[in-house]
Amino acid sequence: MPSYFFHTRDGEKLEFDEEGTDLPDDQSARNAAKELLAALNREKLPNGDHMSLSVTVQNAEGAEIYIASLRLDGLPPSKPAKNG
Amino acid sequence: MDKQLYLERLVLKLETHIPLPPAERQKLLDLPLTLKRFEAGQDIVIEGEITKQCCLVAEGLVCRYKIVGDGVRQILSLHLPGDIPDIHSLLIERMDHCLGALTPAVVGLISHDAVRALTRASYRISEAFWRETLIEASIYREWMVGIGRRSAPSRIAHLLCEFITKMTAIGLSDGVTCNLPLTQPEIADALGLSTVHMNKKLREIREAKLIRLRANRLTILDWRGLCELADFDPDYLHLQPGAAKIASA
Repeated sequence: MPSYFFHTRDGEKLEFDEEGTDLPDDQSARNAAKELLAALNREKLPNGDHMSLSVTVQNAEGAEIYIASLRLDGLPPSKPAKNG
Repeated sequence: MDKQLYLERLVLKLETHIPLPPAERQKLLDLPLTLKRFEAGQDIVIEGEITKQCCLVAEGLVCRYKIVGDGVRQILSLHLPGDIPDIHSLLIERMDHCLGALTPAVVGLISHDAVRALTRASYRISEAFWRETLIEASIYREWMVGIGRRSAPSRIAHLLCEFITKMTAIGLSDGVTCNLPLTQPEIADALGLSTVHMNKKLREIREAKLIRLRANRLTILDWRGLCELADFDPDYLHLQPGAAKIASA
C-alpha cells in the first residue's frame, strides 16, 4: 500500500508528518484527511470561538494531492434590524 | 512439554488476581489441551458460531472484535497468553462477536465438558473463572470511558499503560519495556480512532519523550507522565499487590 503524508496547520502552527500512513489509494487518503480535520476540530472545540485548521496530503512521490481546510467562527447573534 | 507450559500460563494469569492452593493449581495443570496454530489475522471463533470448547491463549496476541455495518472493525479487547477470552462460551454457547489472532498464535482448546467438570469439582476454580469475567467487565468499563470520554492522546496512552501493566503481571515484561505487536491500524481499531489521527497523536506522545516505540518494542521513558496523560489508575485491573511493578524512570 502506498504511503501518504498528512501535514497539518492549526492557526499559525505547522506540523509536518514525516512518517506517513499506508492507505490503499488517493480516494482513501482524501477521506482520511477529512476525517482527521473533523477529529482535530472536535479536540480543539472548547478553545475559543475562532479556529482555522487545514491538512495537506502528500503522496509518496512528494506531490500534493489534496488540501482541505476547516474554519470555525463563533459569534454572538447580531441584533435584528428594526423595520420602520 | 509445551502443553504443561501453556497451562502454567493459565495458572499464572489466574494467580495475578488471587493465589490458588496447590491442589487446585494441579487440577488446572491436568486439563486436557488440544493445540492449534493460527496465523496473524486469522479468525479463531466467528460471530454466530456455537462452540463446545474454550480457547486458552497459549502464545501470541488475540483480540475480540466486531465488524459494524460498513465494514469497519472495532477491537473490543486484547488477550495475552494465559487468558481464556471465550470462557463465557461455557454458559453462552453462541458467540456474539469474533475472536481473532492479531499475531501468529497458539491456542489451547479445552472442551466445555472438561472445564465444566472442573468447575463443578472445585468451587475455588469456579470462583477464579467467575472473577476473571468480572475483571474483564471492569476492563470493558474502562475502555468504554476511554472511547466515550477520553481525548485521543489519552486513549492511546491508556492503552499503552494497560498493555505493559498486563504484560508485566504475567512475566512478559520487566515493567520498562515490552513487545507491542500491534500495527497502527489495529491500535486505531481498538481506540475508535482513524489511523491517520492515531499516528499523529502517537507521534506527539513519542515526541513528548513519554515512550519510545521502535519495531514493535515499547519502552517507557516517563511512566508518571504517561499515566497522567492517560488518566490511568491500575485499580480496575484488580491485580495482586506487587503483581505489576512498573519502574518509574
